Amino acid sequence: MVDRSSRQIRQTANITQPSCNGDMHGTVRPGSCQQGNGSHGMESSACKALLHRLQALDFSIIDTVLYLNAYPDSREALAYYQKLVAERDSLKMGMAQTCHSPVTAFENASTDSWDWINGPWPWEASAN
Amino acid sequence: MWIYEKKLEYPVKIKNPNPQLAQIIISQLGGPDGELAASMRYLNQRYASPYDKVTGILTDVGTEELAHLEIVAAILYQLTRNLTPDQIAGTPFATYFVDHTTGLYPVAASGVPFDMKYVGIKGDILTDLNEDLAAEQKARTTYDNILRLTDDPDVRDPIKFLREREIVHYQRFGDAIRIAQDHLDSKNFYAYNPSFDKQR
Repeated sequence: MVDRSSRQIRQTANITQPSCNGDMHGTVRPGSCQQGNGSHGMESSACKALLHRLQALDFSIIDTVLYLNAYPDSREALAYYQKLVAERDSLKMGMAQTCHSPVTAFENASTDSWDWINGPWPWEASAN
Repeated sequence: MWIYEKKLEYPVKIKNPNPQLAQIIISQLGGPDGELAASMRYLNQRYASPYDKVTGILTDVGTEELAHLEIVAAILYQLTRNLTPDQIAGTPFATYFVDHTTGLYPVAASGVPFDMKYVGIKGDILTDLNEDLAAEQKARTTYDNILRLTDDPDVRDPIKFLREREIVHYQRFGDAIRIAQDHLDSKNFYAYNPSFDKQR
């Protein structure tokens, strides 16, 4: 399970920072980023790719955590965990800063907008 | 404490609403072997765990079950969007709709609301872990049954993810029960309750 997921992460695009400019509110740029009112960074394909990569990464971490809980002395598992976790921060920053879509309420990056409550919410089809 | 992450553990993107299917899948929300029962079971059992590894497993699997509850809710939400009257009237979904519209109320497919009676918390770690092994198998069987009842690939995809996680959780609880048993030798196996009789 864990190996399959790590392969999945390596296969997804090498995006840590999508190319859309988070300050371009209200303008439409051709290409990867379209910004409208509120947080519509998530509608761009680059931000979607970022979300999917973070989902895949976090799933690998969750599965590794469960394994480490039972086998805390596994150095291989712990090294794998650290490698995964190291990738996490840049992805979360991209979500918060570029995509205006902070993953937790502790990470709202903007000093102008409270992005945390912007739709779509995770159970809506457009959020996936 | 819990922090909420504003993303599903696994994506759900369903194109075709189907309230009849939602009527079935809702058992994994509020039914006897669903994700609400699982999360309440593990998160409440952990207080009687005398072993750190087992407490960790119960905490983290229990938390993941909350994430699964959200995935089931997302499936139900997307299956009940933009409904026309003939998708509701005269169908089994009508009895749910009249009381809850398309809100999400944890019930079983039979209409019985969620009940803590589905959950065994015995305050003995060996007993509780045996309950957990059975619970994961029952959940896996329920997902098997759901897969028998739909061929919509958008629905099957997250359901197959959830089913696979039940199997992995079963393995982890197998680890946990072995860890708990290793703390007991042949003289005191079952002779006392490690969650109660022996001080940490």
